[in-house]
Amino acid sequence: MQLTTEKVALLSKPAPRRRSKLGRLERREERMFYLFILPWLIGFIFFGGGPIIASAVMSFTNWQLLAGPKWTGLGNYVQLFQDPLFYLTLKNTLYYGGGTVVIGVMTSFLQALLLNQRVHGQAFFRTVFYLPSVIAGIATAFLWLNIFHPDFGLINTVLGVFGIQGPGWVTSEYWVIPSLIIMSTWSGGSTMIIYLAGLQNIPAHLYEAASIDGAGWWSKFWNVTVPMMSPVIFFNVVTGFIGSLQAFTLILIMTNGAPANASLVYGLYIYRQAFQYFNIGYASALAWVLFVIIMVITLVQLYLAKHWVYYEGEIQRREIRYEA
Amino acid sequence: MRLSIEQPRIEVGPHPGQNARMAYVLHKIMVYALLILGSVLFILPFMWMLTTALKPSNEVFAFPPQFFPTTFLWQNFVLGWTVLPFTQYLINTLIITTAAVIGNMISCALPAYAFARLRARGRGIFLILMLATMMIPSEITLVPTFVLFSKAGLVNTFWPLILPAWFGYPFFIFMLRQFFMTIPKELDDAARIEGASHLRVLWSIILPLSRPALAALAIFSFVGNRNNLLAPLIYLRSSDKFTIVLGLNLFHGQYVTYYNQLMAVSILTLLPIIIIFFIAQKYFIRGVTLTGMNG
Amino acid sequence: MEYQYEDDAIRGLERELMRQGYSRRDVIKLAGALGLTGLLSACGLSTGQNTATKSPYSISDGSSLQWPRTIVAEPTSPIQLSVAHSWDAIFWTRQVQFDTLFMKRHPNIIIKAENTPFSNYIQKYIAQAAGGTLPDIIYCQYAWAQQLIQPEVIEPLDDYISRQPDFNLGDFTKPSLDFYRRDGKLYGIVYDCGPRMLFYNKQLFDQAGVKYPTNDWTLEDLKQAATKLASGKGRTKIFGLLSLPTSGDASMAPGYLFPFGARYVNEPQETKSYIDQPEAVSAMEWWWELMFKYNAVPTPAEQLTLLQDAFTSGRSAMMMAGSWSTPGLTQNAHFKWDMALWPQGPKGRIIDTAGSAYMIPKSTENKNVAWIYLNEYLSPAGQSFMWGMTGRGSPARKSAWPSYFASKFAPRGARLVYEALNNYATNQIMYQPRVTDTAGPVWDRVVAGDITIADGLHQITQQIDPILALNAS
Repeated sequence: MQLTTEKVALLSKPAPRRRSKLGRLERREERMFYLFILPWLIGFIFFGGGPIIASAVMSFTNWQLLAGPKWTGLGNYVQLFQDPLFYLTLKNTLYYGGGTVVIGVMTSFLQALLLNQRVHGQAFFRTVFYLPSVIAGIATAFLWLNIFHPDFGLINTVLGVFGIQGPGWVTSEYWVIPSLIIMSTWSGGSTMIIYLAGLQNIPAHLYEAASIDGAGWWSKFWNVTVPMMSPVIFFNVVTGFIGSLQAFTLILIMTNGAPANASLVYGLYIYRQAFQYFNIGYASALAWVLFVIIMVITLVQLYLAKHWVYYEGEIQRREIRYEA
Repeated sequence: MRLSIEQPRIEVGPHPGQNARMAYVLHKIMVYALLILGSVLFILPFMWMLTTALKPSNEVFAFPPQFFPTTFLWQNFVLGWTVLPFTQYLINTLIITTAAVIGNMISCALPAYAFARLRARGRGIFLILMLATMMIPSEITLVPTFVLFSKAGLVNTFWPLILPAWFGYPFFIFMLRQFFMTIPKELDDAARIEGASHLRVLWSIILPLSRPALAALAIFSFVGNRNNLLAPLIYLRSSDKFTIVLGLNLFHGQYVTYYNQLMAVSILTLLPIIIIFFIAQKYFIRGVTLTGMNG
Repeated sequence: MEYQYEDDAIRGLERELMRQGYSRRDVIKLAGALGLTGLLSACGLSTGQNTATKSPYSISDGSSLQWPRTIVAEPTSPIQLSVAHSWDAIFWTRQVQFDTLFMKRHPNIIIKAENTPFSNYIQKYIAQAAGGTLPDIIYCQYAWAQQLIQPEVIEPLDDYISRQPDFNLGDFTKPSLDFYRRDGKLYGIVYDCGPRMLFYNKQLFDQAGVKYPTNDWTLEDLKQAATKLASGKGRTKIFGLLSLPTSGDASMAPGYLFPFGARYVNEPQETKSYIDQPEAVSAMEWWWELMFKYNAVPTPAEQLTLLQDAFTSGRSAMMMAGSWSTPGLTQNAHFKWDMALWPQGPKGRIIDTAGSAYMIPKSTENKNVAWIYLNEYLSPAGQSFMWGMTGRGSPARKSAWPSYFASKFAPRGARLVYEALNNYATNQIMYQPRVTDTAGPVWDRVVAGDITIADGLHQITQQIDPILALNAS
């Protein structure tokens, strides 16, 4: 095909400003965009948007699921802001979510680096490192209950060798959330896989060039690996927050909110309200408040990302508000 | 149009000089030590599962705890597998999972390409919307979604478990978007100048360069669908349609739990995952790397 | 010629795969995975599908039983009936046997039995209710009963019962039916109702040189024995009693508090907390000396490590548990154990009892046919078949107990269970998760030693009174 002037123009000129008149090619690209996201869009309307709007409506009722729903307007939200458990679970959840993401990002990244080294049996090691995130929750729970046992668990025994009196871990109000954080980072095999995949895509010539410039291993890590991995790190941070702020099933198995509600996380509270007290109206209201909080956190992250995430293949675009 | 130029991975190699050689050896030792330490820690629960599977019921939680069973009850594997029709469950799970994985790959690659490469006025908003759908806990949307499917008469079929996978999962779309955006746009441009359509660019350039990401997606999708409890629980009513995970949970009774058979069948059903993961390692090693546009 | 074609085709495929980056080893690995899957499939297929083959129970148990004739017209054309259960995998085989025999007797009724894990049961069927796809008959545990009955989604069964001359409501043990009554109507037919008993580990008693519990024991005897039986430290520690009353579990009140004249809440209205009354406070303090003073009961930390309670694992000499725990013990305990009546307190001998039932939702289309199934399933013959002969225990009908006594699966103390059920059991258990979820965390602080028992109970009363008061409306 011929190299038309239009095509050359498209490739070289900056992106059009919003609301200006779009040329034919821009409109064509826009149409392609909508065509490509069509599968997701249809799914969003039916499986995503519909139920989400329904849950918003539910939050304005006190539906008990068996009887008919009754409209209560903002009643659930008023109740919510007066509910001491709302504040408690929110605090627990932010503590747990923040800790999990921060520590998890680092440990998974280090694990991926470790598993990327050229060693014998690399495939075996990778499989073993990934194994925990696949196996049954019971086995995980059992293992960690044993490791965390205050009297004769692994950690406290080792600490005892150094003469340190270990804490109560999951039986202590202050240590239960750190224990859960440690537990969830250990089974972070899936984030490790994503990092591993990302590491594969770093071009070797960058390391070559760094070597030639006399860079040591730390410099290579900080100036080549981390920036090239920043899109992946960003992904894991964003999805990590979204996930850990809602997580509850493993906590349900391990502690069920004990002791003294110190490990009662928001997701667990929603679950209780919906399926033990049958208060799905109130549970929906709780979910929507959480949604707003997560959305704010994510938007902040998207905004900050401009300053530290580097995309090799970024399209030049004037609109900077939502772009990462 | 294949642009796969492979390069051997550069790692710290031995330089002339004894200090450098020592550093290299030390580095290797440290790496192996960490790997072995980590492996021991990570393989412990699996070992617990294995020894539990082989024990008679009254030894599983015996006290003082014994690691090894006194008698090796290999028949627990057969017993557990046959007391419920796990073969049927395995077939069901494979059908659902395969359909879901294929659906995910197709329906997530297209929007990811759009978000990564195509310009449109509403793009940012749709990105936010997509992320937003991940922010509502699924327990809450469970009931409305269920009502939707039941009005469509799809309860007790596999469709509620397979259909959503063909319409994109935000997590995967976002993930692929990030990966696609690390691929230099010049490659696209070169192809587009030659007249390739967007679909062709996606198929011939972006996807082959994203093999590790696609492999990761396949693994996650496979494992996630196989381990999904909530959806099969709510939608599947007749026992012959159950999936593996539902069958495993039936070893937990109200009055008694059969841990040894539960662990035995769990191990059997983990094997396909482990094998597939092992095979997929290929894509994590032979990553396609670029030398840059020097010709 | 043909061979060459095939050869080329295979080589062509191989070349193509090689080009795409596959190697022979990968193909072998993939084939191995598929082969393993196929092997597993073949293993199962050869033993037959969908019908459980290995059951510890014999289907011929049914041949000696007399099945009732239901005074309802038999369907003239085939009708499907869906029944929701919650059985573990092994007991499910018995259910299949029952349904097979039932369908032989009623060729026009096709039973579609559904099984759901217990911990997810209510979640699943609440969703079904919301979507309008409830099955024709559902299982219901006592704790959910009033919540299902109140919104009027369950069909009252009094009409059917009155029309069935041989139904014999009096055949049901005293405490069993009340859970399923509301406003004078009966909404579910109970299949079991069992009391709590004192279980003890004979081996540990022998080792400590303590005499076994008798039916003349008082709670003071129990406490003293518990202190004598506790021994050791750390990994080898043995406990005297498994658990103590906490406010996070309302079913403990009858056994631990009522014998002292104390109460958790005012029964049956359940509108006011009584747990800070002097009798309750002194009873709780009396019990908790076993942990704070004598270290005879596991602390929360010590209860943690096992997914199975310390008694079944052989670490606790005694426990108070329901008669429904006997199948689990028979399966999982590796020591000799037995049951005794729960000892008496100053104000008498009382324990709690609970049972589960089956109900017919109002949305069922073929209610008459559902009643045929329900009547037979929960008849004396049905209860004998399902819960008597299998040794599962405590059938709700008195006439099914002889088969329980005679079963080879039954525990030794089966007759004691019957005595407890008829004479000492009460069904006044409060089930309100919001109350116990509020009270539990406060009690955690008491156990941790942060606040005294009296303070803790006072705080609990302050926090749960508002919630309880909502019941008055």
